[in-house]
Amino acid sequence: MQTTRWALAALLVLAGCSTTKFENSQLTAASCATKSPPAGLASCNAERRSFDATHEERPLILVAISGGGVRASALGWAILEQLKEQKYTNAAGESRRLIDDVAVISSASGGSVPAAYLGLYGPDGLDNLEHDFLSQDNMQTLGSETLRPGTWFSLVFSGNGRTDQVRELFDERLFHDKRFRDMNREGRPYVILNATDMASGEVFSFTPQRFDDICSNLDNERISVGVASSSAVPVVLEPMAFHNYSKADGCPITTMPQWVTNQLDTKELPAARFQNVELYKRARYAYDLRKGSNPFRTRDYIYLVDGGLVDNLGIHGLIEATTAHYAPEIVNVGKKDRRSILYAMNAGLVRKLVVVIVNARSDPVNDIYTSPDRPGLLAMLGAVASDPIDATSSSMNSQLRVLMDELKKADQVTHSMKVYDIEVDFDLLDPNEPKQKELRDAVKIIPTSWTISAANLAVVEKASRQLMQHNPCFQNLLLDMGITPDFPVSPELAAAGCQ
Amino acid sequence: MSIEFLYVHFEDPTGSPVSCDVLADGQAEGPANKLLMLEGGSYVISLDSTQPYQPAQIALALGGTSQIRPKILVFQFAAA
Repeated sequence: MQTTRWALAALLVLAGCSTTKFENSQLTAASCATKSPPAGLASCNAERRSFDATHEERPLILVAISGGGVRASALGWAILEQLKEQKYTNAAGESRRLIDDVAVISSASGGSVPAAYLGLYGPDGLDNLEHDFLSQDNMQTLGSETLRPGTWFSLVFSGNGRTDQVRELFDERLFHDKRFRDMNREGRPYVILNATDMASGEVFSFTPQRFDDICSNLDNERISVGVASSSAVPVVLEPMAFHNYSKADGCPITTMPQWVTNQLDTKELPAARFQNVELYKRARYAYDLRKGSNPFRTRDYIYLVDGGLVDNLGIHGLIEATTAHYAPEIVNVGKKDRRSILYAMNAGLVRKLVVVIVNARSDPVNDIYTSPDRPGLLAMLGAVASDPIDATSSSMNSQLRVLMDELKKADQVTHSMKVYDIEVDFDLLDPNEPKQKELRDAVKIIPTSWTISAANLAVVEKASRQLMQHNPCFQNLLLDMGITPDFPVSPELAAAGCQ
Repeated sequence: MSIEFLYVHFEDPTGSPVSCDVLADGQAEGPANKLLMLEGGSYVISLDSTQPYQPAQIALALGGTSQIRPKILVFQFAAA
């Protein structure tokens, strides 16, 4: 009871003593990628990344990395390292790594660390993440050394639950004050760092399109702000604050994108909202952020918390970048001709679509299922924090399954694209294999924190190798690419388990 | 988020298929005369504005088909 009172007091103190610091800057006409046409600009932030789809032997790889603190950072990093290890010979006879074919990487919370790191430093810099972050005692740096090996909640008790400190940690260890413009470069993957809009529960992604919606300059934004927003665990950390500069003096964006206007136009397209309510809601959210004349909500400020609250797998961003008709044009389909991923698929330019979903969900031991005593307040807080996240993750994963099935179904008609869905989830370790079972049990109890012990990091790496090497679709991909890995591949398993 | 299928048939005045892009709400989604995937929803479908002959745009609802039964659109040339 004493602990509960202490916890509540700490929460109340933290909730009541914050000064708002806004993290973003306004777009100006000078910063726009294009000049304003007579009808006005609907977009301004530049998009410089592009995946070259003119080489048909190359797979197009999409990656989503879940939240789960540094456990998720480590798992995401380990999976990317394995994509880096596998090499094939391209049409020019040169050796090429699978990681060079990652076109999109979407993430939530702890998964945003390796996603942004890859986006900034590229595949060649990825090795340094272990030294720079994974093997460091980050919780000690954040001031909770007395409570190690505590979880994020130890930050509350230590009085250091400030997102700014976490952002500074990211800058000091990882990003060194680099900006989104440093990731927004030719040859880099399209990185989608996902946070949650606290006011509406919408996914808020750090993408040029979303920052157009709030008339804010993404290129100028610190990468650490994106990663900290994506991982600002509610209660433990404060939300990150942003101004909505739409309709502000000097904002060069003056018109709505056509897709938003059309979805909300009930005169010309009266059935639009009934056809796809999710698409309609996305249009309405963009419309509200852009302060349309008939808003559902007028949003002057945006407060962002952990992206894991609404999509802990980062799948929403992945699906939107892949199949939304307004998706960014990040694929090079010819000489200086950039189109969306969907366009490239429709044009038959994508022969192999690889989707890697990395889920670092843990399942720590607790006494709820062994104790005859009714769970107390803290146990309930824990359940409230984790159960809905698991449920939404499961729901998002189901949506992705449906999409994958439909893409595979399309291939049955067009015979132009093969889909490889590679799911990495600790629950997929084989419980009937003693070594895998032992590994599963060890990895599922790693706490959600910003520090991971050397032993636990080794366990995550080992589990990641088991999960990838035994994955039928990964094996299938390696066989189809003519890659001979240094682990056994079963054509039977690859054929039966990847359809 | 469901995927629906669309086929836009487009020929020039001689009856030859025209190679051009299909636009949904102004965004290029893929070539005409080919099976296209599109997220279920309502769109204004038009063709690439660089074509010498411009057909009228068509408002279209795509949705509710769980099978691959593409909506087929036939665009007519507008009067010169």
